Amino acid sequence: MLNKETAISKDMFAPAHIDPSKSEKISKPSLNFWQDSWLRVKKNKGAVLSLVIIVIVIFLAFVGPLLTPYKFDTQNTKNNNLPPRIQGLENIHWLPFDGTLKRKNGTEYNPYEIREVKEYYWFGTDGLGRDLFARLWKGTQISLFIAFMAALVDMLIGVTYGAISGYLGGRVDSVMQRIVEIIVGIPNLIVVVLMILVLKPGIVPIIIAIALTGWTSMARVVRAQVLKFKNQEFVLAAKTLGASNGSIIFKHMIPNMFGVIIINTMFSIPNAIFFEAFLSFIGLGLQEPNASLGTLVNDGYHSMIAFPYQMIIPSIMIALIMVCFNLVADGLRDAFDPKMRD
Amino acid sequence: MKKSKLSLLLVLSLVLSMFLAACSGGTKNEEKSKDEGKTKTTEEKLAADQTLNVLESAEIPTMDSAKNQDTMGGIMLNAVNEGLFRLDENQKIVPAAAESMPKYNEDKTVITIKLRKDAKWSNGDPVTAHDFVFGWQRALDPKTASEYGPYFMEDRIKNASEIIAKGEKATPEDIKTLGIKALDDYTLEIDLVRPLPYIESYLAFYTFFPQNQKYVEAQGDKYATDAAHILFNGPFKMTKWDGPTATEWALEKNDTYWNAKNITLKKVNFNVSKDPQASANAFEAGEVDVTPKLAQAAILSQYQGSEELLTYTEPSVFWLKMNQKNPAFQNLNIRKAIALTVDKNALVKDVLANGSIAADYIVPKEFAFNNGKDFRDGAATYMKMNKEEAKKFWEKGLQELGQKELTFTYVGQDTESSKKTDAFVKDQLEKTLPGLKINIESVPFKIRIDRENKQDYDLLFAGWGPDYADPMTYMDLFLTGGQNNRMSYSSAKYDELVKAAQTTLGAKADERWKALHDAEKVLLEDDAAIVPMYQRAANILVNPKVKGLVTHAMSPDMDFQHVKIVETNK
Amino acid sequence: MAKYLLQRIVYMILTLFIVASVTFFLMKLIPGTPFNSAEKLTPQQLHIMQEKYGLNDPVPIQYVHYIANLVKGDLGVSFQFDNTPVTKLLQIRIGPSAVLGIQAMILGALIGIVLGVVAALKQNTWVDYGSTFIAVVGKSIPSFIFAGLLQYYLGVKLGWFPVMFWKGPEYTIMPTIALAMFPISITARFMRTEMVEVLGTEYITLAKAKGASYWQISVKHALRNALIPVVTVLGPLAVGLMTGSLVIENIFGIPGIGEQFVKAIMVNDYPVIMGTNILFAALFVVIILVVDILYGIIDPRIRISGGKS
Repeated sequence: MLNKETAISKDMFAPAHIDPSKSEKISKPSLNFWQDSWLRVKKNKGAVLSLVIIVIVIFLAFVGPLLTPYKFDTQNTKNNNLPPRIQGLENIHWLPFDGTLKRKNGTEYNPYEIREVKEYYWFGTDGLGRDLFARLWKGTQISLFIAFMAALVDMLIGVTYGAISGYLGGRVDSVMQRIVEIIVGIPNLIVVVLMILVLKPGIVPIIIAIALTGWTSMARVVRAQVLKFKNQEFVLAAKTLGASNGSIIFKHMIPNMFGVIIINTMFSIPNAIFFEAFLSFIGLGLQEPNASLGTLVNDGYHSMIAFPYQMIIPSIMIALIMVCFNLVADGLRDAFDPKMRD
Repeated sequence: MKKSKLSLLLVLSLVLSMFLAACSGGTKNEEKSKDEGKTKTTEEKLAADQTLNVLESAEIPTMDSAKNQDTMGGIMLNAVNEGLFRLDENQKIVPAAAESMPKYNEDKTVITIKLRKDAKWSNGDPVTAHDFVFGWQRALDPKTASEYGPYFMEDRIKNASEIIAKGEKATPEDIKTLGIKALDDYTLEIDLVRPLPYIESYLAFYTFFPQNQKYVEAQGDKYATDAAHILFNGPFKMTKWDGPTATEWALEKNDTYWNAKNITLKKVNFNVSKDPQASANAFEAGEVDVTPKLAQAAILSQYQGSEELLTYTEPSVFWLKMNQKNPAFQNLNIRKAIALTVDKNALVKDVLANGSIAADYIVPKEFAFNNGKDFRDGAATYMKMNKEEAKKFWEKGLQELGQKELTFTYVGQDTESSKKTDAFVKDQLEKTLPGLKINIESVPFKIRIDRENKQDYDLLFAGWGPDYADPMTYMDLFLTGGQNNRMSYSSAKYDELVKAAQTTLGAKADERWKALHDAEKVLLEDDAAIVPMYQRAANILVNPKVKGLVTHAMSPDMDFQHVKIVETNK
Repeated sequence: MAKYLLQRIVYMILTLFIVASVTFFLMKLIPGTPFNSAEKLTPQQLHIMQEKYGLNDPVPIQYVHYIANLVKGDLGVSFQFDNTPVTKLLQIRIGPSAVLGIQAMILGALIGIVLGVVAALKQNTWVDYGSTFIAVVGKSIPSFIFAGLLQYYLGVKLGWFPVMFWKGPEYTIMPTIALAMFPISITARFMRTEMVEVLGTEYITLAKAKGASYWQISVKHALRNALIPVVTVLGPLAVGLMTGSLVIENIFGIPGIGEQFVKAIMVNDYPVIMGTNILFAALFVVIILVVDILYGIIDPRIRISGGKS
């Protein structure tokens, strides 16, 4: 972009040698859609790093609870509200793992010493004396499960609905779109409360409630894509060859919009995690003694001043997951979008 | 391009402040909060500004004493209006609009009360016996659609049941038959269906407040919809209130109140905060002098030992109900096992950590008195925790049932402290009793009530607050077929004792007390029908400059009329 | 145009009607009564109460009554707030929520646009990651945590702003910031995508070739064109913000509509649930219509059919 003013003389140029046999040569290696996308994702360091973090978090969500001697639901009320303390780090005061807390007037105290507790709780304990390290990973596991399941249901309903609506078009399309508008208009909370009633409270109604209210954006995106593809040559060709509507939609169109679908799913995962956190805030979250990031953060909110670690640790985890999923989604969008090919 | 640079700056500063906030939460910032070295003044000097700023946790749903059923409404009605009697700072019932304590006839079913002649409404009218008659009739009238009027009067005040039975068809003549009459302008006669030992506490309750007929009828639909449409006869008047959704309102001293010379406080400002952490924050920042009740152990732990924290025991008792529709709970040994298992002391000390007391009883402490003697003094406590015994009962019970394992659905509420308690109880039960599995279902309050009504639960965590100052408000809950039983409990012996206390022993205080003690024993020990857990304590933060803030076990929960703001050398 | 508008409006009314109907029946499926002390009443006393409010009728009849009143503009009276008309409740509570929503929208859109543009211009550099990170992180901390921290540190510790309540412009600052986190991240993300796309188009290449300056290209050409689709997202977003946030309203003690709505659902205050829902839905469809019309007006590709000079 810099406009360098340099004198260019004629003798700097020489005629190029034209080899007709090479004019058809493909200089870049042949890549399919996925390889191509992967190459471009790789260039986006933020997305790659995020992807690595997500993988690590998922791994720890399953392995983490096994790393401590405490189970996520074992209570020991004598050891409740203990701050984080890690072997070896306990004497390094600037790290938050020295087992000390602060009173309202600013004085520091060490509840481990006062209560003569020998154990080490890496991330501290909650109000019932449950180990927060185990609960954090258990909570991450459940939150991710809820989010993935909700996203999967979203995807199935949304893609099918959007594809049918867009492909059939006309009156069917307009009726189906009106239905979407109506669903958007019904308050989520009523659906959630109903679900909790109809099914017993727990993970399943939360997943269903999130999915039931969340698939509309996927449907809208897929419909737009289908409308775009509908009159493109490859679809017309398939039609001419006598392919059925179903096979045109599912064999020809949908593979072409994998990118869009994956991006949308990537966005709906963090949304589901957040919605679950909101449900916890109003008391409709998961059932005790289960933990999710939402319930942990909500419990931590009330301990914000007295036991800040109870809020900070799950908040960091939730923020980390949200940021990573968003960055990966952004990276994927850039990668999948053919317009951005360089 | 100046614009975009400017907004960039804005973004940066915003983000920076955001991060600062987040970071100082994470690392342990050295923030010295002002050392509050308060040396107590021996002599209290009144502050020049007698204004109190109070934070409440809810709006006032109504200021119509006939229709109110809400705690907040109760506090406000008691501040701006006045019934025949009031609770004083020592929790004693003292005359208010009445001149003296009531006179009873021989069998204690007819009460005569003389009214004081210097009580006035804020429009200048005197408060007369007719106002009470009208207030009561209006509360009961099905057209008013009050929930508390019928609830408190049915089967207690003469002819109330008959009027309720007629429902919408009740004529004004029918309503006039209600057992309350004005013998003259300042003499009231009340006819009861049976002797009610707790009638005096009734007469201090807002549902039995007077209403000025002329004024109420003139206002019509507008009555009590905002501060401009209410009459006052209490220590304060409401000067600002835009109606039930208002989150801000104010009281000012009522100079025409008969006892105005003893009211020091000039003004009370109210605001609503529904978030406990935010309430504590507002208190910390000095924006309010009194917070709503705070239940969160973590928030309270910050104020342990501080003179700002006011903890007092409430008469609300919480318990675990065992639904005897489930065959397992028809087995006495199973019920006893459950009752003996839970470590209530750990529950109140470590989990709730808010001053609540472990309860081995259902009629609370510091609540009902007979000749100054607490109902709990002389009464036993029942089913103290004993895990070894519990295990034995459990195994015996399982054997009798021919089962190895039992799974129970445990319905709890969706509040934070309720969820914590539920998790604790589940853990205690499952750990102690082999083969027991408990599934907790936390649901919103209304749904919990619904499941209780339909008896769609095995275990249910519930609580009860009193409606009047007598053990009966707890003891009649578990009568066979009683509307609050809702767990298919039935005991002839219990029924007999409680019914006797309701009827034949109504006028014999000591024997009645004894019968109720015995009934409690049948319920908790012999039958182990329910498992009491704890008696709740309330915690509020009060600025030390506020003196004389009175809290009561029952409505009104709080009374401002004795409050004085004193100088603190802060 | 007139015919199109008319058709849209008919559709809108139909949509609203169906939303109201579906919500009505769903709401009636939630068990329990709207009465506050229902657990204390005898069946007979409860019966009297239900008779009074027509709750003993079969649900379809209640529905017909409700719709008939709705057509007359009567939304009924609240149960929890002693017979206060729902229209009054809505009127009082929508104000603070709307003010807050609009302020947060403006703040959020401005910051979001800047972040998005910066990210797109410096695509795949640390500036891009940084601004995306900032945009995302604001939304990634649950709002009650963010609001709580804001309140504690800026309000209690530093004393810069009033901790809570709703008594003047300075009281709106912290809740606005807290609420703006969401629009910031949405706007920034959309802005970045649109901007990246626009920057890749031929007319930008042409502008570059013509020697337009960096700022001219990014602002005059790219930004203007990228803004159009972003504006269409802002409409529905604004409705979402204006209809209130339970979390923000609870923490900052704001008499808003979001808190009232959630509470109404929890305590079965049927008329308030219905009234609020209809209001929200109406706002939503109207804004969608306005955005659609605006879109036609501001998008040059639609407006200019005869070619540009």
